[in-house]
Amino acid sequence: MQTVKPLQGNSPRTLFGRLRGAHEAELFGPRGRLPRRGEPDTSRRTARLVLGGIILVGLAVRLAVPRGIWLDEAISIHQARLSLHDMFLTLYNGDRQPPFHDLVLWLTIRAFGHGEFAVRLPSLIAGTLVVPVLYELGRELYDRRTGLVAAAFAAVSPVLIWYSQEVRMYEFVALFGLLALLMQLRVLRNPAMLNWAGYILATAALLWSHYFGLVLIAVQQVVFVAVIVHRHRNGEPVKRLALGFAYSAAVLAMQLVPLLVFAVHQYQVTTGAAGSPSGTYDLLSFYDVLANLAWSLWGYQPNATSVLLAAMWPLFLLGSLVLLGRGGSRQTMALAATSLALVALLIVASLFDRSLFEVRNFLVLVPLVLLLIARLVTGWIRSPRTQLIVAGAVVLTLVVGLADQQLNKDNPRLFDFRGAIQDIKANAGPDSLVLFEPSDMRYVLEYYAPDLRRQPLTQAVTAGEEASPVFVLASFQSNPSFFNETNKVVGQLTFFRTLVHRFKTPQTLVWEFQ
Amino acid sequence: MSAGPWDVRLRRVTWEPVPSTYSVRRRVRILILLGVPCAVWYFGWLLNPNRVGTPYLYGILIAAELFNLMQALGFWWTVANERVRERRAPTQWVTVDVFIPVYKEPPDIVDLTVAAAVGLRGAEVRVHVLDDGNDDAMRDLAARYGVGYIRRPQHTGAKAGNINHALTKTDAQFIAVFDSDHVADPDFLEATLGWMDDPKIAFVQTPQYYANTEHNRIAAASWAQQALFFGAIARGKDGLDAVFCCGTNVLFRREAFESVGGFPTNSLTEDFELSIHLHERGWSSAYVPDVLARGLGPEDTAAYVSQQQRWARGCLSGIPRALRARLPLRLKAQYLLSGLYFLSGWTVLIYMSFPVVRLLGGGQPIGGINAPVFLLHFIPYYAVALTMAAVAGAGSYTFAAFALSAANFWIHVLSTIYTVLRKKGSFVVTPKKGAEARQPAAVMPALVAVGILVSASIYGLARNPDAATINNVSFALVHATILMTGCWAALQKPRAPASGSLEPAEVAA
Repeated sequence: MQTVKPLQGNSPRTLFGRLRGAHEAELFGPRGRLPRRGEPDTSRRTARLVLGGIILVGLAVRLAVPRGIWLDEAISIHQARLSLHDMFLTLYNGDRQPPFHDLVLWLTIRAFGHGEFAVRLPSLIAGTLVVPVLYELGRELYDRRTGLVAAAFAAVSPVLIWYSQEVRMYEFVALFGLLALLMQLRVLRNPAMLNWAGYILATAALLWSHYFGLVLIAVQQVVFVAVIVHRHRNGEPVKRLALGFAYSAAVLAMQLVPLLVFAVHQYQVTTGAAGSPSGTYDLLSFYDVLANLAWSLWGYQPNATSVLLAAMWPLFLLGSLVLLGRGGSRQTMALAATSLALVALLIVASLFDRSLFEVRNFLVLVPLVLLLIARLVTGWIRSPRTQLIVAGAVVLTLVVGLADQQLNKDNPRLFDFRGAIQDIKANAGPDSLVLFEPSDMRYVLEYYAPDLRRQPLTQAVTAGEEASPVFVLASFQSNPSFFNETNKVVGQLTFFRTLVHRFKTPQTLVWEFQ
Repeated sequence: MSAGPWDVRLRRVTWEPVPSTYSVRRRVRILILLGVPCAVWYFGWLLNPNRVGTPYLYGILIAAELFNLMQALGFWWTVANERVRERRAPTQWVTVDVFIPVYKEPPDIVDLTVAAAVGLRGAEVRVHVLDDGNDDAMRDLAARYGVGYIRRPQHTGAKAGNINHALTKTDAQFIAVFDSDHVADPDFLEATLGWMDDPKIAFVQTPQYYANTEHNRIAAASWAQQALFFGAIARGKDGLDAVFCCGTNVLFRREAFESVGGFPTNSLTEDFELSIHLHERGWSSAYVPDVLARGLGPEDTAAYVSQQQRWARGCLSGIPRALRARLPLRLKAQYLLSGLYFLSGWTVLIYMSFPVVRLLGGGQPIGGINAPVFLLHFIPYYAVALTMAAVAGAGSYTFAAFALSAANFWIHVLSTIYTVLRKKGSFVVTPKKGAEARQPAAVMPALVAVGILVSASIYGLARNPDAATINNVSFALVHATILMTGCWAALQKPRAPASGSLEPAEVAA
C-alpha cells in the first residue's frame, strides 16, 4: 500500500483555484434556463414574396368550388334577398344566429346579385384573409418563418376551405377570432388607442357573426384580468391597460344586452321548430371528439375513413409523451391554453346538445391548432431544410385530405341538391310538382328552381292531384322522422302513380312519378 | 466532454433543482385530489369481470396495470411530501476527509475532480485519491496536488471495499465522497456541513448532476431520468426521512459510517444497502437540493446499459433486504418502491406484446367494449399521471428519457431473471468517455422488438385492414417509435465532443 499524507488545509495554487480566480463569475454565474437558440429568421422581403404566393394558392383553391348550395346556405340567401327590415324580422323570428353575416350578404347581393359566386364572396374573402392574418399572428407570437408555415397550412386546410366556400358565417368566426387574438396580443404589448380600437372592432364583428364567438371573448377577458393582476403584482404599470380593458369591457357589455335579447327570443321561437334537420341529442362521446379533431385537420371524410382515422387514437398517446419535458415558451403555453379552454367550454355546452360539438362551431380553433403545429415544426426542428421537409409533409397530408373532401362523393357533408334539382328541371313540365323533405328544402328550390311548383312532403297528395310528373326530393334520410315521412309518401305515390325514374345524388334522393 | 479550461463540468448549471416559479408540493397535492378519483374510476371499470377478453391476457394486463398503479401512487405520495432544505453553513471548524475512489479512469478526468476537492471551503479538508487501479499516473496526480493517495494491496469489494479500506487510514470527523468525475463546487461543505449539527443525521446527500448533456444524447436522456429522481423524488424522500445514499456527492458522519462497519461489500448498490443499515440503526439522512458537484453521465449506450444493469441488479437484490429490514413502514415502503421500479421493464414488454398477439390473430385482454368507452375511463387517469410527471419534474423529465428507459426494458427483465436465479453480478465502473463507433449490439433486444412489432403490423394489415387492425398497428407504431427513439443514439455515429462552446441546447417551442 502506498500512502501520501495530504496537505493540511487548502492549497491556493491548484488548477481549480487558478480557474476560479480567472473565470468564476463566468463559469459559475447565475443559474437557470438557457436563452433560446438564435436561429436567423426569414428575411422580410422573402417572407413577403412567399406569403404572396401562399395567399394566391389559398385563393385559387378556394375559388375551385365543386359543390352547390345546401340547405343552410339557401336559408341565408333567402333571408338576404328580403328587404332589410324583413331580413332582420326573419332572423329574429326564425333563426339562431346574429345578423352580421346576413347583413354583409344583403349588401353583397345588392351589389353583385345572387349568383353562386356572388353569394359566396364574403366567405371567400374572409377565408382568404385568414391566411395573412394567421401569418401575422404567427409572426408576432414567434417569427416570420413560423408565420409562413402556419399560413401555408391554412392555405390548404380542408376545413377552412370548406367554409370559405359556404354561404354561412363560420369563416367570419375564423377571421374575426384570429383578428381579435392578434389585436389582443398587440394591446398587451402596447395598449395604445389604435390597438384597443382594433380589438373592440374585431370582437364586435366576431360577436355579431356567431354566438360562440362569446366563448373566445370570455377566454380573452380572463387573459386580460390575469395579465393585469400579474403585472400589478410585479410592480409594472397597468393603468393604460386596465383603463383600456375597462372601456372595451363596457363596450362589450353594451353589445351583449341587445344581443342576448335577440338570442333569447330566437332560442324561444326556434326550440322544437319542425323542418330543420338538427342533430341527435345523445351524449357527446370520445368518438365525436376524435372525429371532430380529424375533421378539423384533414377535412370532412367519408364515414369509413373517419372510423379508420379515429382508430389511430393511440398516436395521441405518443403525441402526449413527446410533449414531456418540452416546456414551451410563454406564447405557446398561452396559445395552447386558449385552445384547450375553447374546447373545454364547447364540451360543456355540448353536454346539453351534442350537435353543438361540431368543427364548424369552433372553426377559430383550426388556425390556432395549425399555428401550434407550425411552431412545433419551427421550434423543435433545428435544421431549416428538415423544417421545410416536415412542413411539406404536413401540407401534403392536408392536400390529400382536401382532395378527398372536395371530390369524394361519400363525403357525409356533401349534399348535392344542385345536381338533383338540375335533373328534376330537365324532366319537369309546366304541370310538375316537387314534394320535398325536409321542409327547409324550399329555400334550395327557391334558389335553383324558383319557377317549379313545390310543396312540403308533409302536405298530402291526393289520388286526384293534377300535377304530373310529381317529383319527391328527399334528403337527411338518416333522420328517422324524415325517413318515415318520405317512406310513407313514396309508398302512397307508388300505389296511385307509376314510378318512372329514381335517381340519387350525394345525400339526396329523387323519385319521379307520372 | 474534455478536460481543460473549458471542461464541460465547469459550465453553467442549466438545471433548477427546485422550481422557482411554483410550489411542486401544492400542485402535486391538487393533482392527487384529481388523480385518486380518476384511478378509482379507471380501475373500478377495468376490474369488472365483464371486461375480461382473453383470460390470460387480461390477467397479465391487470398485473401490469396494478404494478403501474402502485408505482404511480408511490410516486404521488413521495412527491407530495417534499421538503426543500436550504443550504446550511457549518457552525464550527471541523475536519473532513474527501474520498475520490478511482479505478482506471483517465487521469485527465480525475485531475479536475481532485483540483476541485482541494478547493473546498468551510472545513479542514484532507483529500485522498483511493486508487483501486494501481495506476502510477494517479499517484503522480495526487502528488502534484499534494493530496493523499491510498492504494490497497488487495482489491476486494470494489468501490465499497476501497472506501472501507480508506476509512481505516483516515480519521476526520466527516467524510465526503465524490466519484472520480465529480467536480465539487467550492462551497459544497459550506452548504451541507451545517446539517450535521443534528447528531442523528448520518449523511447529507446532494444531486448527482451530469454536465455533459449538451452535446450527448445519451447523457442528456440519462440526466433527464436523474433529474426527476434528484428533483421531486429526492425532495419527497427527504420529507419522509427516507433519503438514501447515492454513492457520490455525499457527506457522511464518520461515527455513523463506522457504526455499521462502512459500506456493505456484497452488493452491487452498496449505497442503497448502506442506507438501509443506517436507517435500521436509527440514523437519519438529509437531502440538500442544490447542485454542489458536476459529473459526467454515460456518454454512450453501452455505458448507460452497464450502469443500469448494475443499478437494476443491485436494487432488485436489495428488495429482500428491504423486506427484512426493521424499519418503520414508511421507510420500508420507500425502499421497496425504489427497488421495485426496476421491474417496470416487464410492463413495457407486456404492453408491447398485446398488439403483436392481436395482429397475429390472437386475442386481446379486454373484450366487449369500444374505444370511446375505454378512453372515457382511461384518459383521465392517464392525463393526470402524465401531468404529475411533468409538474413534479418541472419539465426536466423528457420523452427522450422515457424512450431510453423503455428501450432498455430488457435490462429489467434480464436483471430480474438473474436475481431470481441468484446469478452473481460484478461491479463495473461506468465508462467516463463515450465510444467512437455505433453500438447496435447494445440495443439489439430493442431492435428485435421493433422488428417484431413492424412485422406483426405488416402481417395484420395484409390480413385484414379494418379499424381494429389499424388500432393495433397504431399501438405497435407507438411502441416502435418509442423504442427507436431510445435506440437512436446507439445507431448514430457519435459526434465529436464540442469543447469550449457555451451554446445553449434547449429550444422552447
